[in-house]
Amino acid sequence: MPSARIKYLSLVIRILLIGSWILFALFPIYWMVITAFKAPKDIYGGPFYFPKIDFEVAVLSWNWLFTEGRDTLISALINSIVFATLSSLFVVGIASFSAYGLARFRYRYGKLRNNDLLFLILSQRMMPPIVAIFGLFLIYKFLGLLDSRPGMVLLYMWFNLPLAVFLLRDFFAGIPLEIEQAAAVDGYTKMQQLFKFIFPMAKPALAATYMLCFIFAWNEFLGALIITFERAQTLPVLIAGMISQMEPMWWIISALGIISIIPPAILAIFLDKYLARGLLFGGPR
Amino acid sequence: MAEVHLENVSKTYGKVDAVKNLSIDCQDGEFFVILGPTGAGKTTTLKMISGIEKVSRGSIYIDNKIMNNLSPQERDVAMVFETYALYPHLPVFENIASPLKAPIRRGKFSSKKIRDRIHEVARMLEIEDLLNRMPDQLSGGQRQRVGLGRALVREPAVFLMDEPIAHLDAKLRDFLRPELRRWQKDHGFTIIYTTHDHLEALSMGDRIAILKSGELQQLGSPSEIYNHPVNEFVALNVGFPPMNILQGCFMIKEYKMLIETEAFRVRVNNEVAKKVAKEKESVKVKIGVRAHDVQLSTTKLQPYSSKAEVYVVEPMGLERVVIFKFGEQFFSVLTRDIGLEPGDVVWLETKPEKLHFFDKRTGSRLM
Amino acid sequence: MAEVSLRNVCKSFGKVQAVKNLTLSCKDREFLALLGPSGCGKTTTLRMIVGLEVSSKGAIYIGDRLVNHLEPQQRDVAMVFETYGLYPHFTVYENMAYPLKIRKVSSEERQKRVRRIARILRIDDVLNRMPRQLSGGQKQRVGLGRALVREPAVTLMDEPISHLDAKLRHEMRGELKRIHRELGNTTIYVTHDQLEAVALADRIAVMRLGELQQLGHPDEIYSQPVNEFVAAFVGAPPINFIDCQVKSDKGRLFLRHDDFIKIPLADQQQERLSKLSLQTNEVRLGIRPQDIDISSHEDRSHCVQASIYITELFGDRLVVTAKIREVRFKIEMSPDLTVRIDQPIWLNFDKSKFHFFDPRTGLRII
Repeated sequence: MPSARIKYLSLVIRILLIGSWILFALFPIYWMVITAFKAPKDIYGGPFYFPKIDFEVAVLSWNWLFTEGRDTLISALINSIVFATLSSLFVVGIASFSAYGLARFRYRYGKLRNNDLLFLILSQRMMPPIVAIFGLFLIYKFLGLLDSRPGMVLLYMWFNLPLAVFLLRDFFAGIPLEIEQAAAVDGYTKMQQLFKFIFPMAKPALAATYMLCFIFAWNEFLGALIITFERAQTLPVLIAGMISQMEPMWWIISALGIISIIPPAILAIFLDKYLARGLLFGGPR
Repeated sequence: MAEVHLENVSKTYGKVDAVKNLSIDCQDGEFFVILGPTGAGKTTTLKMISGIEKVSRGSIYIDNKIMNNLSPQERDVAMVFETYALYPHLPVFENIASPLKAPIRRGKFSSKKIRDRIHEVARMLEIEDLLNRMPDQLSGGQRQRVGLGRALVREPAVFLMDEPIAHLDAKLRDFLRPELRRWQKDHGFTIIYTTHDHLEALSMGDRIAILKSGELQQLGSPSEIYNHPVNEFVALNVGFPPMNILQGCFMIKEYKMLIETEAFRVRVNNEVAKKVAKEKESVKVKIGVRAHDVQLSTTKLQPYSSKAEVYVVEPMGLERVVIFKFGEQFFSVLTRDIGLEPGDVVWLETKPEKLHFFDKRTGSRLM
Repeated sequence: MAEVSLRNVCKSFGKVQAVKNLTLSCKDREFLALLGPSGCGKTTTLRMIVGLEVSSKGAIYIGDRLVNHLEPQQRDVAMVFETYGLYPHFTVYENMAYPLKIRKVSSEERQKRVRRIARILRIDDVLNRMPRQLSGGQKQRVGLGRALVREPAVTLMDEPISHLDAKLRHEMRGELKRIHRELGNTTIYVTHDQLEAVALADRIAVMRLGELQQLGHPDEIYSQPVNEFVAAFVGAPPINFIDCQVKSDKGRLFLRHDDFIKIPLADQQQERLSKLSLQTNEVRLGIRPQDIDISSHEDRSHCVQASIYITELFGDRLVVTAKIREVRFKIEMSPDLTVRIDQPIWLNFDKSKFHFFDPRTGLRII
């Protein structure tokens, strides 16, 4: 039996480990927040850690964002929100059906079985996106989708669909078949079973997948950089643009960073009630 | 309500025959029990009747209409699943209401009627105060009753129940068994009910079909099955304690026909001997006798009783199961004599009319 | 071999008290069953004796050693689990010898002990087989053998046979009883099956919600249950309860339920009931299904009218559920009795088998 001393020691070690990890994870965010309120001289001098003690709070970056930079910001923000929201919605919708199909029916295409199909689908995401982007660029050019909003929604669907199918298939496979059979006996057709029982049951998984797709689309940079120029520019591209100016405007980058945290945070709060509660399929123990 | 016929129904999964050439007929208003161990094909049979599984060969009729190509929702059956199969995202009320609210029955039930029906069923199952709970807030027994409720709320042509009370505790089972039976009799419902518990089958069924590895062994009333098991499998699996089955042979001693086993000797009349011998050339047979058909005494009461040493005594309420061991074979006797201890020597005797004879090789009943 | 005693043992998980102030002893060479429904604390108790759980309060002795702070391996106990837990890549012999090997018992001694136990368990002819070649009952016995070769002071079993099928369970019960008789090992056995406890144990401890209800010989538990819970938990079909009032009529005492059931009492019971000077005249009568008799016509002894609600035939016995208005009784009869649903019948209660309980506390009065 562990003695009191060992217990105490292990507690201390646990606190130290967890504490240093928290510091490691939270410091960049803290740094971003204070940088957004620094004047350039405090950024290039320094490093200064504490407002009012090390440096004076300045609202230089915010002034710029609400005047000169306003139109660019609003356009990029709306683009990012629209692309992430819509593409994730389409992805979850389409992926639900394909994942359900892969989980419930048996397919044979030559030698390919369900698991091979799933692997094929997932394999689209195994290479670095840069490999495919140039090819996409050509297709987009041919279709006239460059720098267009539908083009960007399509891009993020292409980007997220494989992963969503992969994630959701496992979830659907875990729903006991007998629940659907019970619904069939109760008098529901296959489609009614899906919409009345299966999809509502899958809410937590659908919400988690949606959240993940949204974040991927929200933060995606490379595709947006190459496919868009101006009209369909997204927030990450705008932020990166601030670096490539004559000198990196860290104060503006940080302010944009803060703004870019807000929409995913709101979404997370909104989806929280679905994410938090998993469902038990309560069979006999 | 309706009758159900299965005609030479088979179900094959890949190379495995889950159900082989099964023909049964369940009459209108009958409580029909399918009894068998795990893997006997009970659940598959129910699922074929409900339409969840397609039959590989053969035909299924409900009320003389062929069902083979109809989907479950077109068959007018209700089913209780062993795994409950509740809808986890819906409260108990909605779970039970789901068959009544199905689009296929749209407009058939007013919401008041739905509510009344649910409360009636919930009252019988004693789950009325759980109607607003979610399934994951219920105990196993409560979930099982919700699953039952979801079937009972309808009045389908046939109720299919797959081990509906198997996972409840003994007390609840004792309570629900008679309730379910009485409810079925009062309404004249047709129920096809599976169980692995022979006592449940005996006590509930109007008739029982016994399955083993997908094959029908015996179909008959509980007393037929208990008193005239068609083979060793049925004999061993129906009744408690399990029937004692021993190797035995006929012999003639002092001009009297005897049956001798390791456990006992019985004098039989020529009728019995002739019947058994006629059907079978060999005189070696397996002889079965139920635990309560053997009498124990401390003195030799008749010339042909035989002596044995008590191996173990198990109390069972008022009675004792006295177990003897002959070779590798257990032999149980049910008695009210509570004085016996392991090691005591007693005399065993039984009556010839209480014996069951089975073929030594095939195990099927000889007379 | 050793005695096990628990003194005022408590165990809490957070705010939940799993075991409350349990004082209990299992005598040397005794077979003690801990019986109760799920959540009664029986498995927790067993786990505290093994050392898998630490008791919150109280003392646990094995022999005369206080074991509260000893690790499981220092307690000289063996536990048999419901799952067999055999090593699939070892033969039966190796499976059984393994606990001795890790305790550095010499190979000769190992062989001797394994053979002896195997003979008692009747698995000496399968020692060279692999576990997958064994039947369920054999696997169970190998699991048991592995616990027994160590010759532990105490053998603990947690529902070891509850998942076997009925026939095998019946056989294993007989085997367990015989093995205990031959080895004389102190055994504590956890089960929720009253039939199993009654059949196997020398004494039974009935538990409920972490508290010991009754400790006694199986017959004592059956015929003299200390409270309603024990009465209802032991015996099948379950005992019937009916709330009655003790009424006096021309100097004789009767039991009345509402205005439609009247049950006369034996002289002795009248005497004892009147001596008790109950605060109210409310009692709860318990009567076992075996202690009621049915007749299709009224006579001197069959004087309570009822009707048949449903009958259940279990092969060699018939359980009748009879109804007097809304009050139901289960009655066990011989299967020869032929009755129809809703047929009127008359009941005779065996007065000598009446159990009286206090309806407020549930405790036995007489």
